[in-house]
Amino acid sequence: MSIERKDEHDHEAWIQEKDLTAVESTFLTVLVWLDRRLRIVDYLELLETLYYRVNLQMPKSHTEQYNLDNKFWYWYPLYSLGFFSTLAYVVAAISGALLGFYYSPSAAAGAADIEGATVAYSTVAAIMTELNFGFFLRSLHRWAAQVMTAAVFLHMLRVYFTGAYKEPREVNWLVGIVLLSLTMVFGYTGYLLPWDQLAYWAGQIGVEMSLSIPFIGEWVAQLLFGGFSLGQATLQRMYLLHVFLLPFVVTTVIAIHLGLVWMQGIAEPH
Amino acid sequence: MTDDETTEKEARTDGTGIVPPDDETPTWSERKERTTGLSRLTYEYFERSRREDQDLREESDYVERDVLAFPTWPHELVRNLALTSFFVGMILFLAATLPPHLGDPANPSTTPSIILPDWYLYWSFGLLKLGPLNPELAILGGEKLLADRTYGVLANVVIVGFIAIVPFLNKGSARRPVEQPFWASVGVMGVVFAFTISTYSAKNLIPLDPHLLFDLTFLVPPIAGAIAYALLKTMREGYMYDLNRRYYKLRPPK
Amino acid sequence: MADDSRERDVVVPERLYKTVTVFSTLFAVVAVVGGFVALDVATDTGSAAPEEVSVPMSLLGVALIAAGGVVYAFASRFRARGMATDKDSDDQSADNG
Repeated sequence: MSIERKDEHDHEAWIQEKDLTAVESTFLTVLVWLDRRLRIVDYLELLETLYYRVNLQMPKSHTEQYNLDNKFWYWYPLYSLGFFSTLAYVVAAISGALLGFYYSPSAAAGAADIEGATVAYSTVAAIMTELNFGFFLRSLHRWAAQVMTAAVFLHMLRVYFTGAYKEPREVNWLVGIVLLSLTMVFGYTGYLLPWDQLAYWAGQIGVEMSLSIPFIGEWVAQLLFGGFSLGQATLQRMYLLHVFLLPFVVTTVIAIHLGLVWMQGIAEPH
Repeated sequence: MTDDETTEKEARTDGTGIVPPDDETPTWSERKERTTGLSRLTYEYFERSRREDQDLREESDYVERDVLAFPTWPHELVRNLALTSFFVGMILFLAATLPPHLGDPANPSTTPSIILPDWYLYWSFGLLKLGPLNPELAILGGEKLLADRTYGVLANVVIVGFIAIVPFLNKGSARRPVEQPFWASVGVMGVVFAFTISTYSAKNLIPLDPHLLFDLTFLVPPIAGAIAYALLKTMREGYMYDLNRRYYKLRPPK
Repeated sequence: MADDSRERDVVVPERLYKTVTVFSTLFAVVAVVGGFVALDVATDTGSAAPEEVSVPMSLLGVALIAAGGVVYAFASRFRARGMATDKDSDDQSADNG
């Protein structure tokens, strides 16, 4: 879009010269007055342009080579997976922030009516049963996370099978692997937060995995899980990773990933 | 416009083909006054799309690149927005209809019969159970060099490391699977292996003999890869012929 | 249908037509929804006893709904050039593509 204003149609002059009844010209004048101030129509016209641009042609060099003169080919959905995972990330971030208002990462004894429950477990149960729309909120957060992970995996497959990682995009492939790993860490730390049986024993696997790393195993287990047996320290660390550290890191890496795509252009379509 | 001219232009009404030069194209409003109903709407849609495309190409900063790449904005993002807003609606629908499970509270004293991480970590979890592959070295008197679980963690590193160096191993301009049967079949093998190793990670849930399952985990992926390779090799012959013919038609050899 | 019984048509430029459509529809929607909200308030969502209904509020509601309808109907006389005046007018064939 250019900064200059487009020439506008002179509505007043048109209304003057056209043979209109008094009511009609008043009506039109009022609407034109509103239009000059609110400019809703301009924004709608932007949307209109987008609507038509969905059918933009592919670069000619490419259509020539592969004889693709159809503009809509059936694996577009696979090409939108990267953007889709970004959107799912945004959805998860918003619903996650709302969930964070009601969740507390404490392994102290929780509500008395649930046997063996910790505070963390009780707050999740309260979100599910007492909070308005809490059930949906947790469901949304979980589904957005699941779908994001799935989309990221499929995105990687799409990139692999269409050779989109080739020169000059090697760096972005590496950044993508980092992002994929971080996504899984994100999912794992979130999986532990409800502190139910599944979470606890998944945490146990995590501790054992880090203990099996040669040389630095014990140190890693101390750092990530706060010890060799699970408890308050583990829960708090997982929570902090999930809501503080990872969001910053992952958002930054996503920005780099997208920035590179923006600069290099989308790899030649299939 | 005379009638002759309008009938002449009638050939391309589906919005396909190469963008025609400016002065031969009837204007938007000229064409708008013809045709009726749904066909007219469709027609107008594609006509306007074509005009948008042409306007973009005529902008000074539009580069028709030799390195085949696709402008992120607006070409790709507009389409992605259209498609992914549908997918986001799907997330909301799923969230409303399939609420998540909340199990019993954590209890360190009772081990559940099934211990599994979330589905996307099954492959990694499966790699932790590679004990039978850990070689027993004669030098160490039949002892294993690494503990089984260390071996499993290393297997993860190897897999991720291999994926990371793929761009440095596979060079060249081939893009489609048919153009690079070997790497495509490596990909197929990897995908199938991800599924089989995930299945193996839940071996106590699978009604198969664990040894048979273990063998299948490593036998099925190469077979799938070989089949993919054979298929792609066969397809490639006809495909490359077409591609070359088209290429030389467009750019005849000097 | 005789021609003189039909509504008056005013052909306006395309940009002005967009203005008319957008703003009159917007006004109509806001007015009709607001009218129903006002009716709800007046009758306490339909549960108030007849003597408790607030008359000015319910009149306001009805007036808003009517105003929305009138504006919408009035705006329908403005057409852009090249637009069909009616579904079965002469310059359009009946087949829908």
